[in-house]
Amino acid sequence: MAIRAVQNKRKNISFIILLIISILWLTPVVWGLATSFKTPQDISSNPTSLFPQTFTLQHYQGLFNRPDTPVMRWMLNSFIIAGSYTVLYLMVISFAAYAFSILKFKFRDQIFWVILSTTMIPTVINLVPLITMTIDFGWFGSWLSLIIPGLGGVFGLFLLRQFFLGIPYELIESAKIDGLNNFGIFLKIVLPLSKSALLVAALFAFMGNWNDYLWPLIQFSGVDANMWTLPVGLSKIAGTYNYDYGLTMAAAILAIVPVVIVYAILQDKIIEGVARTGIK
Amino acid sequence: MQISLDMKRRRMKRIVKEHASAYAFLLPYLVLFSVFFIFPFIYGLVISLFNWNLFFPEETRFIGFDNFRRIWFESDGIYYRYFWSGLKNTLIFVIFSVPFLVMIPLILAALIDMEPKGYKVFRTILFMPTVLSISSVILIWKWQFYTNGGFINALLLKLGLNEIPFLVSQPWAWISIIVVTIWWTMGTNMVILGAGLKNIDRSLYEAASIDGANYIQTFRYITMPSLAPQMLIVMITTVLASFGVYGQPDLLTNGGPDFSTTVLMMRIRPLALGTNANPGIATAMAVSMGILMVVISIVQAKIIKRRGDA
Amino acid sequence: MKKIMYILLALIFMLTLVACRGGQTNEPTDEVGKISLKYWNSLTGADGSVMRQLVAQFNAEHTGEIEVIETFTNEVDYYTNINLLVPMKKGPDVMIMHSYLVQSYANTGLIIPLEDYIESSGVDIKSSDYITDIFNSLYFENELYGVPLDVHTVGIYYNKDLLNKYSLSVPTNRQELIQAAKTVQTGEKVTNSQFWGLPLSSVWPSEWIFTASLYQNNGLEIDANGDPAYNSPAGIAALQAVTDLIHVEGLSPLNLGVDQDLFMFQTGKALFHIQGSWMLNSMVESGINFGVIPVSSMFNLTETTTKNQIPVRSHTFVIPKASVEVTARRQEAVMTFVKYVGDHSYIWATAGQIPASNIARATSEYQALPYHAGFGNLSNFRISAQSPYFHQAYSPIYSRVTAAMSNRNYNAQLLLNAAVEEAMLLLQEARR
Repeated sequence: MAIRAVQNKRKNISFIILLIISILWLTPVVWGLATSFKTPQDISSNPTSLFPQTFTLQHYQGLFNRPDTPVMRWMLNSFIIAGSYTVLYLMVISFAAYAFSILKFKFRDQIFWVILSTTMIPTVINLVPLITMTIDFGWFGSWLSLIIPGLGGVFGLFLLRQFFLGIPYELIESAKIDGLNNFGIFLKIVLPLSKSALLVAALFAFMGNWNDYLWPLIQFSGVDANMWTLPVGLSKIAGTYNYDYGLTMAAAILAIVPVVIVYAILQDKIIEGVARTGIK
Repeated sequence: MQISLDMKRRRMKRIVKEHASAYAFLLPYLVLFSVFFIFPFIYGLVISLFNWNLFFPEETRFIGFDNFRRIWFESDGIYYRYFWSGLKNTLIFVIFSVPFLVMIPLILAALIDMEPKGYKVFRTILFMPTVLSISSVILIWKWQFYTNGGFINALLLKLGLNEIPFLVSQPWAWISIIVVTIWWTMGTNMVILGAGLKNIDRSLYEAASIDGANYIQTFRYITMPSLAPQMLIVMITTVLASFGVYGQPDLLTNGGPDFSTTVLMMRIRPLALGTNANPGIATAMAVSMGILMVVISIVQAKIIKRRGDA
Repeated sequence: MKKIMYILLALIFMLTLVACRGGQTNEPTDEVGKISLKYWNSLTGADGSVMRQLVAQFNAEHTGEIEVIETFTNEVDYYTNINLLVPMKKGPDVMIMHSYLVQSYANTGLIIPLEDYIESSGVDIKSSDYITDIFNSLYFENELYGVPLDVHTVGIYYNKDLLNKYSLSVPTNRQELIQAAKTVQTGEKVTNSQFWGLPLSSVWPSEWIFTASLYQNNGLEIDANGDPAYNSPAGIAALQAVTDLIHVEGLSPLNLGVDQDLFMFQTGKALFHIQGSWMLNSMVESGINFGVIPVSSMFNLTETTTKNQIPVRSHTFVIPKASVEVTARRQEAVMTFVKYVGDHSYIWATAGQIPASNIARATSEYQALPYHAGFGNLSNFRISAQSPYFHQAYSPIYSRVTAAMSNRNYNAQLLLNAAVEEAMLLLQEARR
């Protein structure tokens, strides 16, 4: 059929373009990976070559063997914290996004825009009052400070609202006619249709929390190393003026592996959760 | 008479119930948002009205809008200089980076949406840099941009061209920063747009194909309008993120050459947290930048909404 | 669906409760039993490990009495932590600070004077046990604010094999340095076009190199009022002495980034390399047969009385404003720790630092270290000028030095004036 031929031609062009771009894209990461396997002498001699002349695991071993830097523990901590945050966040914002997009009440959109606007001030300003608050609540230094305050974040809310707005209103109306109340519509119609949006929001929430650096750093300033998150811990391994390139690159590669795995898993589910609209 | 009163009462009850329902859905988020965003936000606004002493809060004095006056108008002062030069550099970055940061992910997402062979692998590769931390990104890229042995310049030399001092001269310094930013951050938009593309009904494409529309036409009249909700969030969040750029100019070019890449956040941060902090000024700068961002976002939203309705 | 959600919720709350309890640090019970001290520093990386060793050793020798809990943060974020948390009473009991910031922090009151503290503690810490100039530089308004741990500086690392190959002796002044570099560079470039005599990164440690040059050309960072004093003939000469190595003598390529010069030296592609004493172990690991000479007499363009001066900085112990109640026992614990680390800082020296403690430097362990003497004579060490606004007055010159090193046609007077202008505006602000 003509349509299929056209589609195949497009697929092939797309393949070639994506291949070229992906190779370009990957080169810097390959460099980082290669550096993490080079001996220090190799790094000094050929700092920019993509192919290690030597091969060593010393940097990775260095990461795992140092007693003052429990890297596996940090990864576990980050997983627990980012995971808890993501689940809680999704619950909170899916309700709110539903209200801001499907429900009708006075000033609905204006309130949303006000909320969005207040987050446009750079968050570095909020540090002092937030620290005071976590001290007053007794959370300072504990994981609660890394989970609860972020639950007011607006990015996921914005994202879900946009997706919910794309749901055809006829579906909502027919559900109302069928006698469903708001909660029923939320649970039985909106959520199932939005699996991909929820997973996208989950991905970004997880990543954002995982990579958060300055806030956990401050919270952990008096806390035992075993409670730290991965980015905070890894930042303490590299020296400032006597930089260990191999070690730092090994740390960087290590830090991204869990998140890339989470991403790969979620991406598949995002595609599976694609909404097929159709009025029954 | 009696009937319409009943109807009115029932309507009011419905409206109240609708509102109560809405508030029930909103309550958890609003509570968290108020405590952890609104309160610090107002606190921040208040700080901007004070000569705030970070180390000794007792010595703080109320000065009204003096901080704003100084950064906006006091042309022989250092804060005026920092604010306006910082803002100018930030705007340069926003204007030149945002189009790429929206267009490139859009094109890539569209290509991936065709699901060619291995598209899952491509998708992961293109997204991977987004997961890296800023310090890893800078470490990787700095060595690519160096002269005397940097990867890109070594390539240029092999091709018989001259070396380019990417990090120490303009316009290369900006180009370097923008290239790194695209590589690092476009993955986010790619995922959002990709998910939006997947939500578009395939039958629309088939119908267009039957009608004889080519790819560009299909893209313009079917894909883009359906993508409007995602485009809105992508445009707005990208502009906001570009306004807040900090790590790349700070670590890649140290704000140089000659402070030409010293963006506003690089001025705000040390004033907020550093050893010679002036939180009142820092907050005034941040609030000013925030007001600008709000205005730009509202304008964007209106434009996109109009396009989406078309 | 709902059931799963509730279970998940419960699980998460349990997890966070557990984590919550684990994360909180216990407030130390001070009066009886073990005292827990919080010790903060910015010593990360390989030399940080040496400090960790020292702390572990101290804890082992004081089990049951004093326990030191060390938190280390990389330098970029270290002062952010201090600035935010000390005023909120979440600061440490003792911390390390860079010497050039002590005056500023003393001025703002974030750190406290030490003499009474030392006296109340009963621990024997006296000025005669430390390098005099360094110790004296820690006074602000006639009160002592710090106890120095070490001094560190930059030196000129040289490739012994290459010097021998060309039958050159170790240079003792600028002329000899340039001559040696040129000879070896010309010779080596025949077979290796990537070889340079004295490659210099325009970014780091350029601020150290400029300061050395400023001192040796009889210049001053600030005058008696704390205003910038480097846009003088001495300042111009200082700038020239550094940039000539690149633009005139041709000993370095342009626009070298951070560590490019370091790598060149570590792979035998350079004869000389100016670098910090803290990189000593990295040099040893590189396998190059190297030696170290001080920067003395390497930057003065004319004969000056100050030609041998060497710029140094110091890691200093300071005490922040109190976060917990300070009892006599706590004071004793802190000062015991400070004295212990100082006396044992010959261990710290293995990370490439020079102990400030005379006691530590007199030990046989320290004397046995092969390279430390190469960084120069203590009598030539000069610490930065003292002023609470030193950073505002002096730091604007750093980026201008980089600009001069990157640009053959720089105008020294213009650059210096621009630095001074920015400095004056910053000072005006700071002194309000």
